[in-house]
Amino acid sequence: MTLHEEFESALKSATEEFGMENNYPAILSLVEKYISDEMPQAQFNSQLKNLIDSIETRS
Amino acid sequence: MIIFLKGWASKGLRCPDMQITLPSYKTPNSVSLIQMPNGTGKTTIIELIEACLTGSSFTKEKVLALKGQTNDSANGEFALHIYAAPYFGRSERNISIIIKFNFDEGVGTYYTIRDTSTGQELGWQPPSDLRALLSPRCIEVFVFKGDKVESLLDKTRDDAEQAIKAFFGISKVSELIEKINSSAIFDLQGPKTDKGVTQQQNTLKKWLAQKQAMEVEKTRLESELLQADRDYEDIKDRAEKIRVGEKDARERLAELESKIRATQLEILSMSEKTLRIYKNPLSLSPRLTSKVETLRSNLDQLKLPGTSRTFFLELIEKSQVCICDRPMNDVAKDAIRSKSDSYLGDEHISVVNGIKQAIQTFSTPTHDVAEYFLPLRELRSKLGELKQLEASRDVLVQLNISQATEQDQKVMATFEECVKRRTIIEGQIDEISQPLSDESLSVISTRNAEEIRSLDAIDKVIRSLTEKLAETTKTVDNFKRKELLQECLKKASKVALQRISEVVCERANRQLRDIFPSGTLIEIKSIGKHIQLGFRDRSQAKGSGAQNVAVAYSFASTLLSQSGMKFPLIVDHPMIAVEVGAREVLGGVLPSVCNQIVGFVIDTEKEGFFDALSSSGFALDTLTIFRNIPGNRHHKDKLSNVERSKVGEISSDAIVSFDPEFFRNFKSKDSASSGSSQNV
Repeated sequence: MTLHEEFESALKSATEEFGMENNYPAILSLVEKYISDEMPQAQFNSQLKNLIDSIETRS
Repeated sequence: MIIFLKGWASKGLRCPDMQITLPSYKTPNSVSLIQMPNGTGKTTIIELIEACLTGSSFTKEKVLALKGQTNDSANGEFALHIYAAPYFGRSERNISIIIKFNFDEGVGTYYTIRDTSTGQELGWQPPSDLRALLSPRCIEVFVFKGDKVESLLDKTRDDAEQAIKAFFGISKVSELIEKINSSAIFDLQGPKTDKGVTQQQNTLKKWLAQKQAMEVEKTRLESELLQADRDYEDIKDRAEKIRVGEKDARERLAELESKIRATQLEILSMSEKTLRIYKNPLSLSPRLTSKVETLRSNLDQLKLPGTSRTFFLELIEKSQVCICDRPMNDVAKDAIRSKSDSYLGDEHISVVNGIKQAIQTFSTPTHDVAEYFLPLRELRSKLGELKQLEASRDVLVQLNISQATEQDQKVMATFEECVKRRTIIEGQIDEISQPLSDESLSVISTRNAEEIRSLDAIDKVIRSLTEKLAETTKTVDNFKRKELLQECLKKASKVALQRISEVVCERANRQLRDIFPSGTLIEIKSIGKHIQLGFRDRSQAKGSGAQNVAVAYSFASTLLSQSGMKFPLIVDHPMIAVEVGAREVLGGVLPSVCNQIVGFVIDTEKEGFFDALSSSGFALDTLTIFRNIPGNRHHKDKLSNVERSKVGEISSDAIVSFDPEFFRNFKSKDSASSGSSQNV
């Protein structure tokens, strides 16, 4: 068991609950890269901005 | 990632000068036992290992206390050497964290060697893949005292949950959620010329900076509290012994403390009774009662709306002329009837009558007024009694301390200082952790960010400012998306934490069964904020010494193995709280559940444990370190029979032996003369 396995499944359910299933791959990728400390700040900001722009809010 | 403790070196400190490399530092499932008699600096070494692992800061007093007695120079140094085995294509690394002490200035400065190829860098800078494990909460799980493992079981603490969060990266997800928050500022931008937007952004920046400062402060304080707790645990039994004094004083003190407890219970019960009586405020003041009675009489005289209605109805029936001198014809009568229905409702009468009835009920005394003050007088007298008892106890304790030896008096002074230090740190942490009610938000947000220490308050102000900024810059949609993302991550973290805790609980129980193959009446019932022990249907706060130690090993090794990390367990007194029979069991199986165990022992805890380890088939290092002083001449003489390769460096300060037979037969003066198994 790793956080990856448990978090992946919990995140999948959470995105469905919040109506964000389309954003699931992008969120998981952001989390994974952030946890592994592999992402420079500029890349983090850009990836976060793209992710946020792609989220559809419920009216 | 597999991490081994390779060794350490000390120079000019309270512990002897030494350079230790553990022979089995690359061998999985190895055990290194370091035998050091009392007074050799074992506690100092463990404290410095912990400091190197957490990067905690040093107070001036702490630095000065670390100075070696024979050190004439202004400097001292401690280095911790770590070996990271190759993994995922990364080659092996030798990492060192060094603390250089300047005793003239009372400072300790960290340096880091991240790999032998990188050279020494200023600051505590462990490699990022290792850093996630090096929080005080994680370190507490794998650097612990065998006789003090209760913090994981303490229901008032959240050590178990924090450890799981840190080990499995959930803390990092929380950090990411915060980062999304703080990154909001960069996107909420209006036209460059808009001064209002710039001002709002600057205010938000100040609050974000304050939040970061308070988080750093909280981590620092938690680390200090951890140390203070350990200092307290180390000294509290001895201080209690001094406090209670000799037999007669001890009995008298026990009697006084029993009376104090009984009186406190009486006061609690009397206070509840008194408060129940005083819930009726009219009972407290005859004057207030009389005033309210007057109000009731005056209400009787009141021209009520109902009375006015009757007046108008009589008027239209009996009078020919209206009060405004107009003739009372049918049109006027209809108009008056209609208006009276609209404006003169009968319900007003019942309201006023209700008030009068209530006053009568509550103002009628059921007791003599004087009786109401009786419980208060009794309570006051009981409080006086308690004060006297407490004063007698304090006098007795002071007498005990004044009759103690000079050394014991110093112990008491240190203990009191330690208690004071813990209270201050706890107060500071409470201040930062204090929640803010929504009502206070408007007041707090008008103050300077630097004045506010409550993280909850700071968070709420940041949220409010971000919302306002989003409105100003017309980016409310953007703001809502960020919030949605944060909520989603929070939910996923919560569910993942719960699942991971359940799996850790199940696997740690499996390890417990491996440790006690013939069965034990203890299991981990659940892991929430703390570890809840029990067996079948019953729960219990803690187990026996051996059970508690086994739970600590099982929990730590499960976390390590399940998180994909292998890290050494560094244990002070691994077996002192465990009975000999259980030591034999634990010694045979512990290496199989841990990657590396480094245990600091005194000679009396070897019995049972050492033989079981020796015959377990796992790699075992046996180091004996003792001071190079005339009193230890007999130990030094015995070493002349030991093979030279098994004797480590002999410094002016200390002698190190790696010989298993020397280790087995070593007896310190303390235990040889007293037979005591307790570390002092």
